[in-house]
Amino acid sequence: MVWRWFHEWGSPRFFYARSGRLIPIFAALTLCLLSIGLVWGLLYAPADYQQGHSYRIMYVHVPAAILAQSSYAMMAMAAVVSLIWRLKIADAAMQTAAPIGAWVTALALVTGALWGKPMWGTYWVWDARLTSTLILLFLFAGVLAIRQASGPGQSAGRAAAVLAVVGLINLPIIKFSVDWWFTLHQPSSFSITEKPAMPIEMWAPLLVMVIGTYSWFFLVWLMRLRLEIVRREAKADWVQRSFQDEL
Amino acid sequence: MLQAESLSCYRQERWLFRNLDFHVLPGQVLQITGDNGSGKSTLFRVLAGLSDDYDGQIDWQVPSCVFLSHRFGLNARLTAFENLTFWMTLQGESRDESEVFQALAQLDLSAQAHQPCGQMSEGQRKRVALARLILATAPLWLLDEAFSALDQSGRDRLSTICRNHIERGGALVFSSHQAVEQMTVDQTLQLGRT
Amino acid sequence: MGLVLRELRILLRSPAETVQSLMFGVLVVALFPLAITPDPEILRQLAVGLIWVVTLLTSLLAAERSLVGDFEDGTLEQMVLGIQPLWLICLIKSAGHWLSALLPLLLITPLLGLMLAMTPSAILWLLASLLLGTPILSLFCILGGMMTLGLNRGGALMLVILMPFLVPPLILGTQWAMTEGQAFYGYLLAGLLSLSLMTLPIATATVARIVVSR
Repeated sequence: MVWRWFHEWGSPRFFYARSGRLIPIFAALTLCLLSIGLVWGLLYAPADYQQGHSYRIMYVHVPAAILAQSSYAMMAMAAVVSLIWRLKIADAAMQTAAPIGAWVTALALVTGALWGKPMWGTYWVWDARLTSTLILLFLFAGVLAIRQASGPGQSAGRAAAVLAVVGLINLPIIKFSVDWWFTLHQPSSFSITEKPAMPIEMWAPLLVMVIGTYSWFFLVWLMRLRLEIVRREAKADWVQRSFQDEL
Repeated sequence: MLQAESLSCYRQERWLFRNLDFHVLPGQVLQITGDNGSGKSTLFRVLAGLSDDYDGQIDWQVPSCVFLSHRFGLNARLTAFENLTFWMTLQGESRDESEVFQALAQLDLSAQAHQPCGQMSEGQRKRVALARLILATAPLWLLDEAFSALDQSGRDRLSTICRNHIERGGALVFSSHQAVEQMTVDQTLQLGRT
Repeated sequence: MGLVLRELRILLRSPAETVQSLMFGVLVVALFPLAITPDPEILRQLAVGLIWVVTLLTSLLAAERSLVGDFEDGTLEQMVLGIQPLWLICLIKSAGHWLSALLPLLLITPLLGLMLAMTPSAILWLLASLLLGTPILSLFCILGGMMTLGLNRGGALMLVILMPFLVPPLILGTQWAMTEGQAFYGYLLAGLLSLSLMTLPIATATVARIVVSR
């Protein structure tokens, strides 16, 4: 049963036809959640007793940081599928997820730096979380670069997929070693990532933002994936016909 | 021994070749012709099993084959002897020293046996690469640019080696820029715009 | 075996490359006191990290050594087509890289330590950390080198790809040396080495097949 489902959705034509219905759902969800979350967090949530209003950037930074890591994992899992089952659609999924993940990571870095300024007076600090995020950006950059440099053809996707998988296995190792490095040298443990118990009025909008950000990610990913499928299958009959109709 | 059906390769926005069908039987010679860039090397790499980026089916009915590309596969710092013994290791077989020397002698390379390949001429290096054919036991030979970099005597020797191989029931697929009169070709495959 | 002999022979016949790695390491380490300060107190604090970073850079510089030649002259294709396990060949290449680029540096580390005002016990722990950590560097460098074979600007690309993976051995190695043997880091480093030994040659072999089909 599961295999049939797997095979069906693995076919570009089927995927394209059915996934179209998901777009409006995600779009509505994203619009809803993000607007609620942003307004609530940026305007209505109570001010922090220590940081005042500047902490509000957390409502963008934290979802971005969480998504940055998840998107790498999702991209790497698409890579695993593409390597083991040789599904082209998995390769397309991996290819389209990578740039989104990279930009989200960059956003997390920038917002993290902006948050640091009011807190410690500098834009960059070698905090464990920020350093890990920087390394994550390099991981994304590597996957993107290897695909681009390998030129057209199958081998580009495969090389990128192997790199993504190696990256996924190393990701926890990198995270742990950076954490230990940080705590060894900063025993007075101050960190952006430290969250003293937050009252519900503060973390509720955060939750909304996190879910909304995931919804946004799936929306954009799906749209890009559909586009990539059409681009790859441009010569196939079903593409010609369905776009013929639109003209 | 080697059968291909509807073999097609798409590279860089164009079809290199489409719907090739051929069957090479033991004792047969297939020559692949075509201009530069017509996809000969790609076809050889696909037939050798290096690339699986193709449409269609290939049926290898042999356990192993020898593939010689237009790059000789010889390390410049190793001698002819060392390169050949290394290649045999890669094939999982071992040969006596005397057999290796004999193979080199058959290609008029006795004097170069202990010379680093980096110091040899191109023709000599090609002949070192060809010495593998004498030492190998695989029934199917895939020789891309078989006769390049060889002078007349070199070409004669290669034809002899190939003919012996065919007589023992082996099969050969090769390509060559120059016309080769010494080879009796059973089938020809023409690639490129026709 | 024949595979090992071949790499060794090639290595021994290219002494210039080994000397190159050595010279690079020594020169860079010598530059730091000139650039920062001759004060031994400060040098001592920076020494472990400095030598580790220099080792890392030397490793990266030498990454493509045993790979580019084989790729360009067609030997890699024959290796892929042969019946010897490809992961074994990749492992041997990693060992060759270590012998040619990193072992010389290891041997000269006491001298480097002296230049940076390190105490003998500190040098010993540094050596231990390098001994455990540099094989990990070699394994990753060969993977990165293989991945960028034949690509434009492969060197720069390799740097970007490898940097995240070299951070853990760097951190664990330097921490182990700086804490002068806190067992925790030692175990982790050894664990990372085992994991790398088990997985990276296989990954490199996979990449070799991809490279050859380009």
